[in-house]
Amino acid sequence: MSSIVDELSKYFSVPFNEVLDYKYTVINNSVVNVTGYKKIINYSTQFVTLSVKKNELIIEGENLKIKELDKGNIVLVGKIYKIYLSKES
Amino acid sequence: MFRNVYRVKIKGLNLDRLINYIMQNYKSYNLKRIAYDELEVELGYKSYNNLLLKIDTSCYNITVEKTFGIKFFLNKLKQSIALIISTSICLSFVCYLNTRLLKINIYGAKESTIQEIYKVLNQNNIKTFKSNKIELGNLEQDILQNVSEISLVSAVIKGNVLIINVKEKLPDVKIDYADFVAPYNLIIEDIECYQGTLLKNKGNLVKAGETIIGAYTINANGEKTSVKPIYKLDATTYFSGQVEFNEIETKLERTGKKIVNSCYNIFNCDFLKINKSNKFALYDEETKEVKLFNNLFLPLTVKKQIYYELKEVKIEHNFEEEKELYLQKSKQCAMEKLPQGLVVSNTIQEVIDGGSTKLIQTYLEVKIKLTND
Repeated sequence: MSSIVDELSKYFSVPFNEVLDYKYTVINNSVVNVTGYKKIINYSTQFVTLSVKKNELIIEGENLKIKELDKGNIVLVGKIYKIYLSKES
Repeated sequence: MFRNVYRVKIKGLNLDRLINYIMQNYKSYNLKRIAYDELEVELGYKSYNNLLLKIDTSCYNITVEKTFGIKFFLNKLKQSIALIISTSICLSFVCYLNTRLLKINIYGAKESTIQEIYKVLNQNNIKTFKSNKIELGNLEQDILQNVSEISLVSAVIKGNVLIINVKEKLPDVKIDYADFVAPYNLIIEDIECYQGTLLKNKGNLVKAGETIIGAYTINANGEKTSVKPIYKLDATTYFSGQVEFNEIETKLERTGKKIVNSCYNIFNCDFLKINKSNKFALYDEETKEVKLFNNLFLPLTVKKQIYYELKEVKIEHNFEEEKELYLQKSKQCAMEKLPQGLVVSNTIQEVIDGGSTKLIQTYLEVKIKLTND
């Protein structure tokens, strides 16, 4: 799969790896923008668990609120303490 | 404001599944988990309606918390007809006022001219609350033609006010062609005429009102031309006063006897009338009206008619003793006739003897100088 993607990336001169992968951006410990996630496993005001590739992206914080929710794109707002990956069970 | 959004509260179990469903199908904003079974989310107008069709309402309880957007505002407006009507009335009234004249200001003219200008405006049907579409050029022409005392006009409309600026004509310079007329009876001592026609000469006695210099000249061809008289006049005039002296003077004196008639009056009704007949041959009459209660509301008045008996008393005067007094009285009488600003140069007094009656006369001689050079 990765080889096909690599071939396509070379052919089109577009980094498909980066496009197809998930990506998260943290701004000032108060805003997190995650793109390329699959689904929301769990959501509460203290933590949000997102399914990304074969892992889980866990965002811990306080007063977490979803500012924008779209297919493959989520913007979380609140006090962010931790962002870490864990293996999907 | 222009985005039509529902803020919705969803109650139910397994909300994470619902969030994933929303994430897959719609765009949502400000999603907040209030409790494990309660969620608050903002959805677009179409997304919300689609969600209502797709969602199982028996599992989830959906309540609309708030609505935003122009669509909802218009829907609310539809419900309040009174507000729409009043707003439209206000708007139409404002639009109507914009096409009307609210005030007419006229500057630079006196009251009589302003009245004439208003007449012209009325003729052109220009009044307050009439249309403000006016041909200003025509109006200016009309005012110039119809109002005689105006030399310049400018008319401007600023907003709802018609401003008319006016420049009045300068007053015509009137040349005084009046004859020079004697102000008093006078004797001409000296006269010099620089312009005009001399009608009286030195030494002439002129009565008040007679023309001394005519306001014209006659040239060699006999043509009459009006001119302003220019002259220098020295004259003498006299002002007289006289007093009569009688050696025996008859005076009337009250004897002390009197008859009093009285009558009380309230609200124009007379009562308690005392009416005695007057028996005196010579009498003096006096009437009085006295309010009895000055500070009260009761208008009770007393009318009194008093007849005083008089008798004749003869007083003998000695002229030599009272001569000075009568001379002074005579002078005073003459002085009263003297116009202000004239100075007396000589005083002549004489006594004309007529037996028991004497006439004391005073003449005030006044030198006057008149010129308009």
